[in-house]
Amino acid sequence: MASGPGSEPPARPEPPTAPGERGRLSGTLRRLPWGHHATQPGESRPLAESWRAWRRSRPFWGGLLLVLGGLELMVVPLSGVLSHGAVKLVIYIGIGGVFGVLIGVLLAVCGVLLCVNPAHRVFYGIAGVVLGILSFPASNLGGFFIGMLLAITGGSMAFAWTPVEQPPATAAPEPEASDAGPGEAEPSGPEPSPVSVEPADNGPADNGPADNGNVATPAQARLPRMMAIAAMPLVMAAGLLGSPGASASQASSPQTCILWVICIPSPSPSPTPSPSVSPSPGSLLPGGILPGGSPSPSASPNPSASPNPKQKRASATPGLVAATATSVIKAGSADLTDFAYQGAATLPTATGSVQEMKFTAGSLTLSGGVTATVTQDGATTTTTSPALDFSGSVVLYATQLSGCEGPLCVTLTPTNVLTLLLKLLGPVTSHVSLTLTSVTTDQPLVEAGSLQASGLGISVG
Amino acid sequence: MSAEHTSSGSLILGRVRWKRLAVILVPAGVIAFGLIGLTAQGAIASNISVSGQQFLVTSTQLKGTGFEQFGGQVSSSSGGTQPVVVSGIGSATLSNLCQSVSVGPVTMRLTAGGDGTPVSADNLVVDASQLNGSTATFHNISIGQDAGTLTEVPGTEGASGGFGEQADSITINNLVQHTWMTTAGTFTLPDLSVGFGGTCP
Repeated sequence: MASGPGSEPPARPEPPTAPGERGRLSGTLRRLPWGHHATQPGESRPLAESWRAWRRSRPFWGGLLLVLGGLELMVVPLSGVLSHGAVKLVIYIGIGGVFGVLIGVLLAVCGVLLCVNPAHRVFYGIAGVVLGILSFPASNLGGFFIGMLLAITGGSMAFAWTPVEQPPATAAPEPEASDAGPGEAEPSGPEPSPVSVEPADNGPADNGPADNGNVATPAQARLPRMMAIAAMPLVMAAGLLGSPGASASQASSPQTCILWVICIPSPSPSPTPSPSVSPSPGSLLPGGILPGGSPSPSASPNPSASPNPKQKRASATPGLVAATATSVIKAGSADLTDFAYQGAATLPTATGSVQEMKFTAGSLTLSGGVTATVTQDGATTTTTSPALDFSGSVVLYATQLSGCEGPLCVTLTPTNVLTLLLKLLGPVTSHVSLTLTSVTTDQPLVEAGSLQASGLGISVG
Repeated sequence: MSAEHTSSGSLILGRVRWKRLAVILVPAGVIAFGLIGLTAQGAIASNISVSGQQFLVTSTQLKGTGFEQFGGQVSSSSGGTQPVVVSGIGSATLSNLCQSVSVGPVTMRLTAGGDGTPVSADNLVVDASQLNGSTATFHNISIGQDAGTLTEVPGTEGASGGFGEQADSITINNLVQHTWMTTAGTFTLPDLSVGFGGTCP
C-alpha cells in the first residue's frame, strides 16, 4: 500500500529474481528468501521479499486501484467536510452525495477484500467494475471520470488475475488450486518464458546481485508489461484529462481511508437534527397564538403596549418569524406608492419576539446604490443593486426607519412613529405616495408579490 | 508480515491475464461510454455533489421554482472556514451552464445546456461566496425571515435566527457564481462537453 505503481522498479533492485517470482512454484519461492538471507544478512531483504510475495499472490494492483478509485469518489463530495473541526457547519449532502460516498466506500471495501480474500476475486472484481460504471450517473460523473476509470480498470484487473501454475501437493488445501487449471491452458506469450528462464534464474539468485546484467533481459522484458498494467488507468485518465498528473494527488490519500469510512456517518445526520429542532419552537409558539386573536395576546406580554394607548397595533403575517441577525438596508432614495402605516406588530423570533413597525405599500422602489448588509457569525453578507423594485402588496417591517423628505429628516421607531408620521405627512397617514432620501432600514423584513433587481451582486466576507 | 513469511511456502502466485482482462474491460467500457453518451444527450440524470474548493459557475439564464437563500459556512480544503451564501432551488433550469472545477492540478470545464435545451436540476443547493446577475426577478418574495423557518425547499433550512429569504419563483439572467459547494439530487446535462483549461465566460 505504501508504494504506488510508479515506485515499483526502483524499489526492487534485484531484477534477477523477478522472472523467478512470477511463474515460480512455491518450492522455489520458499528457497529464495533463505538464499538471500545467507548471502545478505540485512533485515530489509526478507521483508521486501515476503511483502513482494504477498503482493504477487493476490490481485494487489487491482485492489489498490479500487481503493484509490473509491477514495477519489469520496473526496469530491466530502473534502469540504473533512476539515470542519468544531466549526458550526452548514452541510447539505443530498441523496447524490450519499450515493457518491456509498459507492466510494463499497469500492474501497472491495479493494481491501480483494487483497484479504483473493479467492473471491471474481465477485469483487465484477462488483468493482459495476460500481465504477454506476458512479458515473450517481456520483459527480464518476468523480469527474477519474474514480470511474480507476474502479473499472482495477475491477477488471482483479477479475483477470489468475494463479499462474498448478501448485504441487503442498498447496492443495489452498482454494485457488482449482483455478489454476485454466491458467495452464493459457497460450499467451509469457507462459513459456518462465520455464526457459527457470534454470538460468537459480544461478544468479545464488550468486547474489553481482551479475545482474546477464538475466536482466527477460526481467526487463516483463517489467514494462507490469508497468503497463499499473499505468493503464493513468493512461486512460490522461486520454480524457489531458494530464496524467491528476491522479498524483491521490497517492497521499490512503492514510485517511479509515478516518473517512468512520467520518461518513457523522456529517450526514448532523444537518438533520438542527433544522428539525429549530423550527418547532418557533412555529409552535407564535404561529399557534397569532392567527387566533392577533392583537390581544401579543399586546399582553408586552408591557410597553399597555401604558402607551396612542400606539396603533397591527397583526403580523401568521407564521412569519423574523431573523435576529443584524441587518440593514440603505438606499439613496425610496419611492413608495399607496403607502400606509399599519401599526406596531410583534413578530416572533427564534429567541423571543421583536416589536416592529408594519408598513404597507403598493410598490416600493429603492434606488441610488441600494446596499443590504447582514452580519451573522462574524461574517458580513453584502447585497448591492442599483435599483430594487418591489411591487404587488408590499409589506415592510422594520425596527427603525430613517429618511429625509426634503429638508426634514426623521427616524421612525415603534414608539414615535405615529407622531412623526403626522409631522411628516400631515393628517393623511395612509395611502399616500412618498419619496424619501438617504433611507436606512434596520432589521427589515419585506414581503412582496414580486421583486425586480438589476445588477444584483451578493458577496460574503 | 511474519504470518506471510511462514506461509510463504504455500502462497500461490498469479498475474493478470490479458484475454480475461479484455473479456470484462471491453463490455464495461462499452457500457460506460454508452452512459456517457446518454448523459451528454440529457437522457440520463446525474448526481452532482462537490465541495471543498472554489469553482466558477456561469449560466445565461437561471429559472427556478422554490427558492431560498441564507447565510452559512463551509470549510475549505485548506482548513479555514469560508462564509457563504447558501441558495437552494427546488427545481431549476440553467441555460448555457458552464462549471469549471479543479481536480488536482487539472482544471476541467463542464459545459451543458447550450443547444436550446437547458440543464435541469432538482434540489439544487449552492454555497457561493459571490453571486452576480445582470437582472433578477423574484415572485412572492420574503426577505428577512428567520433562516430556520424557510419552507420553499423542503429539507433545506439555515441556522435558527439567521437572516433568510425565500421566493416562489426566481429568474436570474447572466448568473456568475463563485461557489464552494454544489449539491443536486439530479442533474440532467444535455449537450454535455468536458474541456480542459480556460475559464467560463
